[in-house]
Amino acid sequence: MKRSFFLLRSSGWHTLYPLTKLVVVMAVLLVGLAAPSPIVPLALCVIVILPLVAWAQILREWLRASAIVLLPFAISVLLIQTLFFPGATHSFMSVGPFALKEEGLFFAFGTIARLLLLAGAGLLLLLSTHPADMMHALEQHGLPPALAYIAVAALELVPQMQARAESIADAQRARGLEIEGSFLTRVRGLVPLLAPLVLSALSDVDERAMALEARAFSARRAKTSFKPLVDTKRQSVIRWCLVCGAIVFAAAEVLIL
Amino acid sequence: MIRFERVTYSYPQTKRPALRDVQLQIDEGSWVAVLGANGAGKSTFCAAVAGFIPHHFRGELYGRVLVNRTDTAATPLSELVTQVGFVFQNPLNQFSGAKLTVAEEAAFGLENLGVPREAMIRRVEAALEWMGLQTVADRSPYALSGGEQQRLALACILVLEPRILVLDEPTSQLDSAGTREVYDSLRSLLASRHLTVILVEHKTEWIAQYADRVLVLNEGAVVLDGSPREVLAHADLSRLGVNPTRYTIAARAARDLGIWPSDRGLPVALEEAVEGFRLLQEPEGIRP
Ligand SMILES: Nc1ncnc2c1ncn2[C@@H]1O[C@H](COP(=O)(O)OP(=O)(O)OP(=O)(O)O)[C@@H](O)[C@H]1O
Ligand SMILES: [Mg+2]
Repeated sequence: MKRSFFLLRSSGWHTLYPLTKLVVVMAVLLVGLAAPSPIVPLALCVIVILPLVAWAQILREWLRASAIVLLPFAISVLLIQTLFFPGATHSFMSVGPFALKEEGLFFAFGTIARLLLLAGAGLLLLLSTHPADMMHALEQHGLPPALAYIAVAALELVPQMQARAESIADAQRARGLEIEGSFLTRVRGLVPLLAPLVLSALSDVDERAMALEARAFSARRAKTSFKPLVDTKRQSVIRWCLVCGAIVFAAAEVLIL
Repeated sequence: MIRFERVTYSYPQTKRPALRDVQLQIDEGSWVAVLGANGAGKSTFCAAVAGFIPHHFRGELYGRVLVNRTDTAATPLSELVTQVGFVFQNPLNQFSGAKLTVAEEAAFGLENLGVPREAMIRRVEAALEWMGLQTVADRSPYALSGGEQQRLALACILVLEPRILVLDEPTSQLDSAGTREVYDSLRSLLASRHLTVILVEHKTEWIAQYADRVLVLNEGAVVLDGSPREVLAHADLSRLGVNPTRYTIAARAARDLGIWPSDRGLPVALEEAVEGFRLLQEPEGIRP
């Protein structure tokens, strides 16, 4: 069963304190997205994100996930903008009755470049940092623990719900309910699946709540951490530099360029 | 030691009490099995021992539950959990869902209690070893077998070092191999540590082997209370919605056929049954 997006590797990037990774990604995004020219996000993707992905040893998975996220979007943006860009005057080619617009092409290129950076940086973080570690780091910097727990557990519960839905679907298929087939039969097949899914999730809520209490979740004490999440002075300095640098850079891009 | 002093409890918005006038004492170090039909109040009894009643479930509670001489109603739940550990049916519902490995999951309760890291590591290692999980400490809790998962759920509670362990149908989601794993681990744990165990379990064959005392609940009241031999061979057991062991059933059938002497007690465990049936084959006396 697939639990989360996280990929365990023994890379230097993985040993970084989660907050440092978050700041790196945020700084890159700020600089990239504040720039008026799409060349900047594209360049950042190639000279910053890609090497980090390689360092984290997740190149193949990152490429695949990026393609899955971006391709449908990129294709539709490209088609719609080159065909129907409003107020476009230059067309560089015509296909049958359609004129392909130059302005639309540039606009689509800009959008795709920014999306590429957004998805690439986001996936780098998602694939290389376990949500529990990220939340733990944020907790150490003042995020309320209950909030952190809810965020992580909600993320982790999605695959569990999926697995449960599959097992209910299996049981119902065994009893002869249609789950494959045309769109309509599948929708009709969903209805009997929904009731047990919701009911069992609800009846589990109470047991889950009690089980958490049985493990002292509601204790009002300062929590400690089993897993050493090592933050270093150097990383903290780097983070502050990155934050300040990114703000200055982004401001310069907006004001000067 | 656990003491129930005339405990009657009704869940919110219900009229019929789920526990009726329960009065009993459980000594330290005993293994108590709790039996009864569906809805008899077994889980409610467990919740009362562990303090979920009245801390988690509101409703109306009369009488007192004392654990180690203190009223559970007067002790916060987060302190009670270090005295009474509670293990539920479904292992997956007991995991925090926020931890990557078995060892991290086991440490969750200690993190919540703010236990220093060195002590935490020691206690997690000990609990995983008691449950035979050292070799899977770095695996994902979700990549374990059912039996391993329930043993992990037990380890997660054992790290809190409670003196009393309450297990509500801990093997109902497991196959027979998983059930055996859980009981074997429990037994070796109890051999090394002096714990009080309260166990709800429908598989009476297991109870006959392990328990020193059996309670049968019916509509919230304790109707039978005694040794496994007394209770499991009791004539009323089936009527109370509890299956006798297969050994008792076989011997009773033999008695109804007139093969098993009616003055001989019925067996509840395998060895007794074998011995009983072996005696049947021996000649009653030397015939002329
Ligand atoms: N949360 C609740 N709210 C209201 N009534 C409840 C609640 N939980 C249990 N009950 C009722 O209390 C009575 C005792 O339930 P309990 O769960 O203790 O039985 P049980 O012996 O554990 O049964 P089972 O074998 O099904 O687990 C039942 O009549 C049940 O309907
Ligand atoms: Mg129950």
